[in-house]
Order: sequence, then structure tokens, then C-alpha cells
Amino acid sequence: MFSIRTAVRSLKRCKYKSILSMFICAVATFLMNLYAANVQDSARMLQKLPEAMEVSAGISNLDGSLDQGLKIKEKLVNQLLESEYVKAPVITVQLMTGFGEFKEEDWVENLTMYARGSNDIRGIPGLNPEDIKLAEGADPDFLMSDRRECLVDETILKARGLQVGDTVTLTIYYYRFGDYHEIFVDPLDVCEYYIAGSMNVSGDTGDSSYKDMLLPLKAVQDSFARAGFPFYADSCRFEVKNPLELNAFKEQMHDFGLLPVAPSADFYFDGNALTVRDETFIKAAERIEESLTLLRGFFPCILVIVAAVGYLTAHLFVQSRRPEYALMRSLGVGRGRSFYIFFLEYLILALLGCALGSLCAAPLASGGWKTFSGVAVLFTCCYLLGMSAALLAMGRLSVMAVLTKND
Amino acid sequence: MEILKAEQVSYSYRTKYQTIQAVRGVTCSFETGKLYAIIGESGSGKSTFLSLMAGLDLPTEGKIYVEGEDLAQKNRDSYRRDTASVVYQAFHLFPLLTARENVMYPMELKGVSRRQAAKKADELLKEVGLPEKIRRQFPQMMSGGEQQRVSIARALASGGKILLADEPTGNLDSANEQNIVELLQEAAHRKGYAVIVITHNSKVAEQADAVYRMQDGKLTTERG
Repeated sequence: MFSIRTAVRSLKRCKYKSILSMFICAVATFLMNLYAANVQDSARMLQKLPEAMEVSAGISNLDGSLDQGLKIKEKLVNQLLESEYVKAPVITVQLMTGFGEFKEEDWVENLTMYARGSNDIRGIPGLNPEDIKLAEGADPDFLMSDRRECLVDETILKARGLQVGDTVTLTIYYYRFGDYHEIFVDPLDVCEYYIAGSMNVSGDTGDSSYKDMLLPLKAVQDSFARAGFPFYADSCRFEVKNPLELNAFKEQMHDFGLLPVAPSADFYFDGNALTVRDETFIKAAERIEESLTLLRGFFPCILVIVAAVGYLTAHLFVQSRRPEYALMRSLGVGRGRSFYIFFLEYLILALLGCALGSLCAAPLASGGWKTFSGVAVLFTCCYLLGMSAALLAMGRLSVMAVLTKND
Repeated sequence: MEILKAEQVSYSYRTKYQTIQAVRGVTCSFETGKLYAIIGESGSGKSTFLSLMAGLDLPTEGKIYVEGEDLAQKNRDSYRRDTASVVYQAFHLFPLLTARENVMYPMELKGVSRRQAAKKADELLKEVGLPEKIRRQFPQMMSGGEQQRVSIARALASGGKILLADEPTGNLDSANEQNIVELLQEAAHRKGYAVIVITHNSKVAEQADAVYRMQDGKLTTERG
């Protein structure tokens, strides 16, 4: 109690020095909070970068000349669909279809529609959700299912006198790849499909002409399975789920058998190369990481600076209090107790300054209470460490030399 | 009654370039109820000897006994807190404490309640002849004589049996000088302290019960 009372009394009666010391602590804490907020903001920016800047990827042939009309194995398609690194995959398969059942030799008159099987409306380039008119009660996610439902181009529906909600018989032909770069169109299945909606593609379709009809991918895969033909997708594109794990993603893609694009390779239809559009993301991420590394590199320096501030502040202030310390010792206050009394004074000032600094930093720094308390603990520890060094140095002074003349 | 005894006490300390032998083989003893004066030229080792008796440092050779106990074996902090008090030439009062608080300090340090300490401090300040208005004043507002009185009151407040004074009149005019000597005499004769005064003032020495002379670190009996 005596020590606390003595420390508090000293603080009260030494107002200017106390205020100055507290102000120094407040400024140091304020700056530390700004620094911590900067580090946090950069880290947050890096964490949120994938949301702001998506990394898209896709399958192409080895020389990179094709990203659709490919021969992508079903195993690879399934691996991609199940991968934890893949987000929003769009798998397509090119088909030719005709209404009604007809003989193979009558294909010229009947096989008139260029269709696509896909798990997503983005399977047709330029098709937007507002371009689709679904039948009442139709499931908007039917493309994810294996139900035999389809979207048909509005013009075709009008020309054929069909309506959304009708059920039609479809003859489906598929693309078969030969051994010598040739492609065959062979009959796949004849089955009934429910017209779940109409579509009128408003966006840019690019060079794709397969936009007359959209069928669920799984339903098409079923047709392949029933017919006993190996399924090949013609295109596959997706987003990288967490671009911050690009290396792990690329490693997995490599394990799936995907190779990097080699422009000098021979032309094949095989979809076995991976294209990742990650340059912009990598540049942005590297820039943020660089600044984050730089900021974090300063961390030990900041701790040392705070400790030095603690040492210098205490050292300068105790210089004028050496006789006081010597007198305390001569009156029988033990070395430890004397240290404790001085320590207590500076601890109170450090805590008050720290609280003030945090309060001032609160409107400017976006860190939460955890950051503020973390900074407060770090500041207090480093400051007191420096201050203790100064007080311990004072403890070594000769009481005799201060209080008496050395005759 | 013998309370303090020095036996072949020597003390040397090192500076950057030399070792100084400040005290050489001093043997003497001090009794309660007496005022002792140690006189000598500047640099003769008087203050160093006093510091050793105050337990601020230990002799490099020899021993100091307090009530028959070796001071080196005792807790020197508690020795200064309970048995020996020191009055300095430069007064050495706490600048941020009032006269009363300065006197209360040794008592509060020993755990005496604030109220009791304040009461005792007022009594002591009255005893050393300080008016009531001084009690609330800070050292820088007081004259040298007043500060030294407060310093003596503080020394008496610890309730020990030894009062060591290092040139207590060195910074005072002759009127105040006599007052302080009278206070020290009273402490010895009426309160039973062993008062040891370091001085180079012959007037002060004349009023002591015994006088020692310190020369080149050696102590000889001058009178007593």
C-alpha cells in the first residue's frame, strides 16, 4: 500500500513529467495501432483478393489452339467436378439433334439442331439468365440434374409450332473422334425431353453455333452410358476456388494428367492441357504480399524502438531522481522495493498512455478490440522492458556517492 | 551503553586510475546518550567512515558491530530503517513531499498508519522548533535551517538509537548552526541517541561529549 501511495503521489506532484511521459506512450501506441491496422488491412486485402479478382481456368488441347470441340475424357471431367480446388465448373458436350425419330439415312432433313449438353446455362456462350423463360413450376437448376428436360431456342419453337411445357421426341447424334484427327457424327439416343423453357441468346456467342438447344449434362452422360459409348466432353472451364492456393491447385491438375500448354506441340483434339488466366491475380497478390512482408519486416524493429523509447524515457526521467532513489535507500527502502515504486509509477503512466493512444487510434485504425489489446500488451511489455533496464541501471549507482562527499 | 563499535575498519575504493584508501584500521566505539564529533580536514575519510557506520557500504577490512552484532551479517536495509538514521549536509529531503510527509516517510515505511504517522510527525516538527505553517510546505519553500530541522525530525521519526550527521551545519549560518547543535545534543542527552556528527567546525566539536580526529583515514581520540 505504501508503495502504491508513494508512486501515485509522485505522479500527481510531478504533473508535467507525468503528462510528458504519458504523451510519449500515447504517441507510441497510436503509431503502433496504425501500423497494426496497416498490416491487418493488407492481410485482409490479400484474403479478399480472390473475391475481387477471380482466376479462371480451362482445358485446352496441348498446343492451346482449341478450348472447345475437344475430346475430354469422362474420368477427367468427374475428377474436376469433385476437386476441392475447382469452383463453378462449366462442362459442355456438343451434340446434333432432330425432332422425332428418324432413320440414319434421313439425317440431312431431320438432324437440324446444334445442341449442347451442359451443367450450367453458361454452357452456351452469351446466354444470360434473363434470356431464359422457364415453364411455370420448372426447376431453374434442372441442368444440374439428370432429368430429361431442355431449353430450346425461341425461333425454333415458333417455327415448329411448339411451346414451353411440351414434351418432344429427340433423336440425338454425338461426335466421335477418329484415330487420325477425323471426327464422325454418329447416332446416340432417341428419347423424350420435356421443354422446360425457351431461350433467346442476347450476349456474344463468339464463334459457337451450338446454341439451338441445351440439355442437362448428366442426362446426356446417361445416354452415352446406355448406348455403351465412351463419353467425351468438348469443353471445360471453371474458376479456381481459392486462388491463394494456386500451387496446390496446379499440383492437383498435374496429378489429374493435365499438362501446361506447349504452343510448339502437334495439333490434337485431346483436351489434356490446362490454361490458367492467373497473371493479373499473381501480380496483384505479389504486390500486396511484398508490402505485407515489408510491413511485417518492420515488426521486430518496432518492438526494439518501443523498448528503446521505454529505456530512454525512464533513463532521462530517473536522472533527476537519483538523489531521491539514494535517499530512499538510505532510509532503509530495499533495492527491490525502490525498483518496484519507480516501476509502478512508469507502469501506471504506460497504461494510461497506452489507453489514450488506443482511443485516439480507434477512429483511424480499423483493427478490432483484439488488435488494440494485442498492441497494448506488446507495447506495455516492450516499453516496460526498456524501462526496467533503465531502472536497473539506476539501481547500480552508489548511494554513498550521491548522498555524501567522498572524502 | 555501547551500541556501535568499529574494529580495525578499513575501506578502499577504486577510481579509473588509482585505488584510494579512505579509511585505515579504525577502531572505536560509541555509546548511547552521548554526542560524538569526528573532525578532520576535507578528504580525510570522515564521510566515508560515517557511510560505513550507516550501512551504506561494507568495510573492505575489519568489522562494525551494532549492539554486538556484525553489521555485515545483518539486513542493512532494516538496520537503516530501524536503528540508524542519517542527517546530511545537503538536507536531502524528498522534494515532492511536504515537511510533514517527509517526517512521516520512515514511519509509513515501517507500516505505521497514516494517521498515527501524521500525529507523530507533527509532534517531532514541533520538537525541532518548526512552526505549524511549515508542515504543509515543500522543501524548496523552506530556508536551509528549516530544511535541516525537518531532516533531524525525520531522523528521529525512525525511532532508532543511532543518529549519524554528516556536516549538518555545513550549509547554515551561525544562528541556525547553534540551533541544530542544540537539537543534536537534546537527541543524545534527552532521547538517549548515540549521535555521531562529522564536522570540520570547531565550534560544533567543542559542544560534543567526545571528539575524534580523522587524518589520512586514521582515527585518533582528541578528547573524551
